[in-house]
Order: sequence, then C-alpha cells, then structure tokens
Amino acid sequence: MSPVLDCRNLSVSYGPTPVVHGLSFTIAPGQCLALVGSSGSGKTSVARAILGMQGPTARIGGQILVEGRDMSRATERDWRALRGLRIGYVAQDPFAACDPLRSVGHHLSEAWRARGLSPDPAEISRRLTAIGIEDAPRIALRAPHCWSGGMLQRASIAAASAHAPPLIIADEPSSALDADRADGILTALRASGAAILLISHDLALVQRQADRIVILDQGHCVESLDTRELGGQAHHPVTQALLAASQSLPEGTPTPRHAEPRHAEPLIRVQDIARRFHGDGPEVGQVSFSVIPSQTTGISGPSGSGKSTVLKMLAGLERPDRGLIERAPSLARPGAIMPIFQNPAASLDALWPVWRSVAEPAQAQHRMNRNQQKDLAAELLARVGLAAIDPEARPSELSLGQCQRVAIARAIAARPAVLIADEPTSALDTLSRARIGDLLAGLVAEGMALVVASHDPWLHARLNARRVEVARAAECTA
Amino acid sequence: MIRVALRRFAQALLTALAASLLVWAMLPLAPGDPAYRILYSQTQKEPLPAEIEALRHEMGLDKPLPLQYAQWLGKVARGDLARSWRTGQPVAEEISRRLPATLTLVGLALVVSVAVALLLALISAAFRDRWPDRVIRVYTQIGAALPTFLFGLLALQYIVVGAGVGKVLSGGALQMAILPALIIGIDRAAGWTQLLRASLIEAQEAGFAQVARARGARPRRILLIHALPNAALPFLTAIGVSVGALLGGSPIIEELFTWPGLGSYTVAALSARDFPVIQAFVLISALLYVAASLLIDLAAIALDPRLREAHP
Repeated sequence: MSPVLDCRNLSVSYGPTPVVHGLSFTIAPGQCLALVGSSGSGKTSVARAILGMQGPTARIGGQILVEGRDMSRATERDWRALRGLRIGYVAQDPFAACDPLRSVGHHLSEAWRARGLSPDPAEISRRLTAIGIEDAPRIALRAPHCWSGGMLQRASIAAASAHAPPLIIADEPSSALDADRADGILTALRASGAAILLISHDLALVQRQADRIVILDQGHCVESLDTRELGGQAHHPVTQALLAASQSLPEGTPTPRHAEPRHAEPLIRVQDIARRFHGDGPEVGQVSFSVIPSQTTGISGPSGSGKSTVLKMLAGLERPDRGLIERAPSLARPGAIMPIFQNPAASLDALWPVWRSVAEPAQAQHRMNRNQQKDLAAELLARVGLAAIDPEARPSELSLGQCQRVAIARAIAARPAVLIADEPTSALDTLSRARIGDLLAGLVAEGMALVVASHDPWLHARLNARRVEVARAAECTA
Repeated sequence: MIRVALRRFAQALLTALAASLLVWAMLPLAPGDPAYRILYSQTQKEPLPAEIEALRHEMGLDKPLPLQYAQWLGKVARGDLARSWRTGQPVAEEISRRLPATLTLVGLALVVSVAVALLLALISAAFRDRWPDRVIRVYTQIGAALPTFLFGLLALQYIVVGAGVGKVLSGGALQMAILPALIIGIDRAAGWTQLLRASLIEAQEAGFAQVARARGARPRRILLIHALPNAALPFLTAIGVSVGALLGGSPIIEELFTWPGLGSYTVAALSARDFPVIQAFVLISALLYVAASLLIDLAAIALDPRLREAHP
C-alpha cells in the first residue's frame, strides 16, 4: 500500500540555521507515527511544513509527498485543497483552538463552512453524541470556556476528522489535559481510522499508542524505531533521557523526607472552605487541609475543578464564601507566601534582564543597588541550577524550563515560608519537568512548605505530596 | 446575561449622577460670588450690595449646599437648565435649537470614521506588509500626528474655495454636514485604524485562526468571521472613549465651517464666562459619554459570551 505521507530529506529553516535537518519518514494508511523530542527539537516545524503553514520566512528543503503527490512546488491554493479534506489537524490547547466568541457547535461546523459547505445541525449533534457528549443539541450552543478541556479536545478531533481525511496531524493533543484523559484522547483519534502523525514529548504515552517512533533532537532524527523495540537496550542517549523522564513514577530518587519536621505547627490551616461563582453553582467544594513546613500539599482534581481558586484563597487573593483559613502570624510579612505560575514565559517581564526579575522581590523588601541585586541574582540562579546562564539574558533567550527555574529563583528571593505553585510543570516537556520536580523537592527538603496544584500524578509522586482532591466541577452559566 | 446588563445599567446611572454632582459643583465652588458675576456680566458695572443680596436670595444661593444641589438636579430633570447670564434666555431653549445640528455633525463624523477605520484596517490586515498596508500606515501616522483644524483649513482652501464644492456658510442641514463630518471622521479614523489593524493581526495569529486555516478556510473567511469579531472588542472601547472627545472637539470645526451647532455657542459662552451654558454643555457631554459607554458595554456583552458571566 502506498504511504499516506512520505517525507524525504525534509529540512526547515528560518533564517540561516535550519531547525530541521534531513528528516525522512513514511506513514502507511491507518498507521500512527509519533515524532518525539523535547521542546525546541523541531517537531512543530515539521507539522507546520506538512500542512503548508510554515510561514513566509521559512524555507523548506527536500520533498513532502501527500498520498504520492509531491508538494514541493505546491501553491497556497494547492495546500488549501488538502487541508481539512486530506489532512486533518488537532492543536495542543483546545481552548486556544476555538474562537472564544462562538459556540462549540460553530467550531465543529467550521469544518464544513471553511470548505464552503453548510452542515446539517442534526449532523453536528450526531457527531457530538458519537464522541460521548450527552444532550448534544443544547451543549453545542455553549461557548468553549464552559466546556472541560477533555470534552473540547474530543470536539476538536470530531472537527478534524469531519471529512474522514486519510491523515491527521495531532500536535501534543493531550498535553494540556489531565494525564488519565490522554489515552482516551488518543484512542478517540485512532478510532477515526486515519493515519496519525502524533507530535509528543511524552514517550510513555507514545509507547502505548503509536506504531512507530521517530526521536528528534535539535532538528536531527537520532533514532527511528518500531514501538515494540522501545524499552530494549542500546538506545541513543537522547531516547534514554526521554524514556527516563517520562516514567510515570520516579524510580530510585525518593524525596528526602524529614521524619520529624522542625516545626510541626501548621503555617496555614484550612477548614471546610468553599467558594461559589457569584450566585451560581459551587466552584469549589469543601476542602480542609494544613500547610506544614518541609512538606508538600498536592492539590489535584480535573480541569475546572477550582484548583487555582484554592491557591488564590491560600494566598489571600480571594476570600472563601464559607469556612476558615488560619495563617500563622509569621506569614503576615510581605513575601512570606510566594507564587510560581503555570506559564513561566508569561510570568517574567519580557523586557527585563533575568537578574532584575530574580532580585525584584528582595528589592521590594529593602533597597539594593544594581551590583547588590546582580550578586543576589547570581547566587539565587546558582541555587536553581542556572549558574551557567547569562544574568543579562532576556526571558525570550531562555527555554521554557529555564524560565520556570528563573521564576522559582525569583520566588525564593523573597525568603518565603510557603511556596504556591499552580501547574508549574504543565507547559514543560518531560526533561524540564523532571528538573523542576527535583528543584522543588530540594526546596521542600530545606524546610519550605510547598502547595502545588497539578493534574500530573508524576509531580505529586515526585514531591511525595499529601493529596487534597478538589472534585466539584465549575458550573457555567452562559 | 440580563442580570449583567441590568447591573451595567445601574452603574451607568450612578456614573451619570456623579457627573451631575461635579457639573453642579462648578458654580458654587468656583472662586467669587456667582450673584456678583451675573450682575457684572449683564451690566458691566460694579453692582450694589443690595442687588447682590436680592439675586442671591432669588437664586437660592443662601440655602445649604446639599439643598441647592437637590433643587438644581430637580430642575435639570425637568429640563430647566437656568438662564444664560449673558443673554438672559433659557439655556435649555438655546441648546435645543443648536443641539440637533451638532448631533448631526458628530453622528455623521462617527459613522464616517468607523467606516473608514473598518475598511482601511481590514485592507491593511489582509495585505499585511504589502503596498496597500504601507500606504494606509503612512496615512494613519500623518492623520494621528496632525491636528483636525489643519485638515479643515486645507479642505476649505482646496475643496470649497478652489474646486467650488460645498459651502463655507452652511445652514445645519444634513447634506451640508458631509464635508465637515468627512474632515473630523477621516482625522479621527487614523488612530482607530492603527488600533484595529493591530488587533486584527493579533487575532489572525491566534490559535483559533491557525486551526481554521488548517481546516482549509480562506484568509478572507478567517479575517471576517474570526479575526474581526475578536478584534472588535478593543475597537468598540476606543469608540466609546472617543465620543466625548468628538463632541469636545467639534467647536473648532464648527467655527471653521460656521456650523450653527453647540460648539461655537459654547466657545462664545466660555469667553464670556457664561456659567449656566458651560454647565449645560459639560452635562450634555458627560451624559452622552455615559450613554455611549453603556451602549458599547452592552454590545461587548452581546458579542463575548465570557462577559455574560456574572463576576462578583
């Protein structure tokens, strides 16, 4: 059978340096091929090139054959004839992929309307029902932000496979979702019957779902293998590192645990707090827990269950409607509770050199001159394992994982007693995730109290967290 | 959604009330005795203390301030805006004679500027970094940098005097408003075009636009169906903020085209320190601004489902 997709010696370059070098692979009908690598390895550039959406500044070398047809000299019109009909596409973040002003039903019907067709509303409902959505005609009228991430991604898959394309490109389709839903999403993708080019950094997930695996490192293919061969011996070091980082539980690196915490007295005691959206259904059900030095409290629950709201209430940014939060008097000073955010690049000032961001919380507590700030920043950067980077660098010059470590350095600059981390690893690839996990575990071992909200069981296990489940889903009024 | 809209309406009422308080406070809080100023501006002579005392009593200036405000507000609500110090005529009457001409001009200018900004920004975003976009960007920069009256003077010189189109002396009719409205509108559109172009380009690069493209949608469809509604929110806000500025900026153009509107009347009142007229103009501007903001907010709520959710 002739392949659905045949890439021969594909290279992609923006400016003088190529980001993808001489990549070759084929995908047979119905096959699932995974392109695996850490962030910056060129995976997304390959996906965009295969959709003809690499942008005007990119240069493509080699050949891309879609169902035997050479697309090297294809015009935008030629590509448009393939998109949606012959090649489907599923994006990483389902919320970003949907127009926020329109209903999910509209998002799905776009698959037809984009091609100048008008779908039957009954057909939209039928497709939504087929992916497990109850009461589809009514739910389809709701805006994307009212949907859960997993359901919205299923709707996106339904839209991508609307015209039964022989190939679907899925760019990290499950990495924005809860880990236990990732397999469900990939199963739904495979159920469409199309060949799949799966872009991922999660080798463990890929191992369960893909037929073949191509490992990318800095734009080079370092290994191409059958999934059954994975886990054997004699892999390339990059493959081994990815494999180690994606193990669902960290083995051999138990969290250093203090048998007797120095201060057994809780810093924050939370009793039966609950909070509602104004007037309408509960956003956070009742939860109770204590925040203790040298321990990690892990808040888990599905997307939209109010994990972030619990953290905001802990930090005093929002008040609970019911229940009590008692904070130790020592937390009354500024900087005693410091946040770490999900998106490290967005949480750093893009125009500031790294040293300035890192020293800012300390500077806010007592004035320092430039040299003192730079010295402090260098010390803190060394503490988070970034001694090698230039403190004058801007966030855009660093990787996401490095940015997150800069954000952690900034948080500990305030000498906090409690660190509050909201999904600190969900934007990161598995290698960076492992490093952040180690760093946070080290800080807890030094006596800090950590409260982490995450849907990633790996992180909770790595930090040896006492789990707090937030179960109630948010009600949406629109 | 209804609850959010009602709450927004109540906020607008409160804002209008606060604005009225500030407008009223212009009179008692300004330096000098109003009664003295009125008598002086009418006779241009030093008034006698007995005359001042009589007028103070007649105007209720000897009563406590909160009572004065309540009485003033009651009168305003009934449409009584006091009498002009300069002419002795009821301000409400003088304004109602001129307001339609100004509203015609400002309304037409608003339509022109929204239409121009919408068209140019869409062309700019569709032909980004190609020649139509470059030409439009030159216009937006010049338009944003130059004052409105310069456009007006040039138009008078070359279109009215030079080419003989339109009239210098215009009577307030709709067809006569076209030239001055074009001038105000094209000038105002420059900044809006820049803003809308930037928002459109941002929306064209958003994830949902990329996904629509990957589904096979044409650029035109992405621009009109997805980018435009998403870019409209900041644009609507800018329009709301500008309504007050349009009204405040109308005196210069009205003066230039001898337009019989509120602007030139207010300028004359300003130079004569005719307080009731100035008060009335500021009050009308403030109320129009509050009304425009309310309309824009309701439009935004209708456009964006995320805004329909009640926030505490």
